[in-house]
Amino acid sequence: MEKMGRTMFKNGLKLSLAAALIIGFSGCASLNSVSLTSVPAHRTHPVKTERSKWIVLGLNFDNDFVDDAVEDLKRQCPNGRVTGILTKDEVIAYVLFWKRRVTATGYCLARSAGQSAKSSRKSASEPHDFGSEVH
Amino acid sequence: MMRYLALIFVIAILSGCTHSLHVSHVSDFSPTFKPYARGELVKAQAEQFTVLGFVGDTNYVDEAYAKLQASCPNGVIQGITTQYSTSHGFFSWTNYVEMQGLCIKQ
Amino acid sequence: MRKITLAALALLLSACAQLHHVQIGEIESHPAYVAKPFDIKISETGVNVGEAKEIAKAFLDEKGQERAEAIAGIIGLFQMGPRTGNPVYVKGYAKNLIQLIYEKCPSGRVTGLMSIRETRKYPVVSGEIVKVTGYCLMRRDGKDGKDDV
Repeated sequence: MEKMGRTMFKNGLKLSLAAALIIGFSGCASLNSVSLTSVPAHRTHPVKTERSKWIVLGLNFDNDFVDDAVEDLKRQCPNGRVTGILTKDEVIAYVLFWKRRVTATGYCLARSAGQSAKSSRKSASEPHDFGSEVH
Repeated sequence: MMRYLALIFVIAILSGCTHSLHVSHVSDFSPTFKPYARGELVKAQAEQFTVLGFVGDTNYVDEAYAKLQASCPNGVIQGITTQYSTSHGFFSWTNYVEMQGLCIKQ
Repeated sequence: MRKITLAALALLLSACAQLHHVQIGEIESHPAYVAKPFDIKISETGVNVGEAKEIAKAFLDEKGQERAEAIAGIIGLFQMGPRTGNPVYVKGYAKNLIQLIYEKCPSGRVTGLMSIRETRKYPVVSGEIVKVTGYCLMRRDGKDGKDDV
């Protein structure tokens, strides 16, 4: 009877430990902030960048990990315009550490050579007609 | 008796659904800069229910974005307001992302 | 008397402004256009049950304090979740933002938008504020196009 009780206790302990490990390492995702810029009509060329950082015990001394996110988007869209950018700042929390992740997805609108020459001629001769560009 | 009834009434009122708006962002109106009458208001919302915060992703945001794009195919969406809020509950809560914008058709 | 003085002091000294989020958008300018500033402020009352409990406890006896703790605890169980500022009882109080912007600038030539989410704190209650400031571009010569309302 005593042996059975001890076995049951050990099994219960193992189950609890397994459950705690699963919960602890599955991560809880939460959103800090979200923003979206104007969405273009042509959405054929998506671009995406993701920057993340592991933070242990809350010790974080800088946020430089996001600094080159814009450069990465620019690299994916040379000579173009990145728009319709959805920016998510989220935290995936574990037991004693968490991951801070910034994701930016958007669309690249390539500028044609003819279009850039036309727009520069137009801006030189007359006031910019806000609302004339519809991509 | 009246005091207990008043107490129950106060608890019922104050424990009603509460909400919290975390972020409210308005995007630019460029490059179209069109007035309200020239476009159509489009909306998209996605939500995520969670018990004690045990969720593994924030894909509901991408879902809202996809819905917004689907509501304005072949059009520019300007002046997008993005609002992230939470509705509180009993050991659980629901996260909402709502996006609204003006769809300018080509 | 001491409790009333403390409560009055708390009231006077505790109005605080708290900034949660701020974002700035593109800024356009052109010599042919005048930038007319506008601002929009939407606010809703937030309630902090914990602070209400603490203030109530200052005026109650021991039994009353226990009851106040229990009531606040029960209410807290129904209000779980992430919060920015104090929770409000109205959902979607800032959902008509885009319409308000168009009221300020019917032409839609809006630029320099700054979105602010802030809280103005008082004892127990707070103002949960969404503020948007920007500029409406208007032609200097007054010849706004046929697109304008």
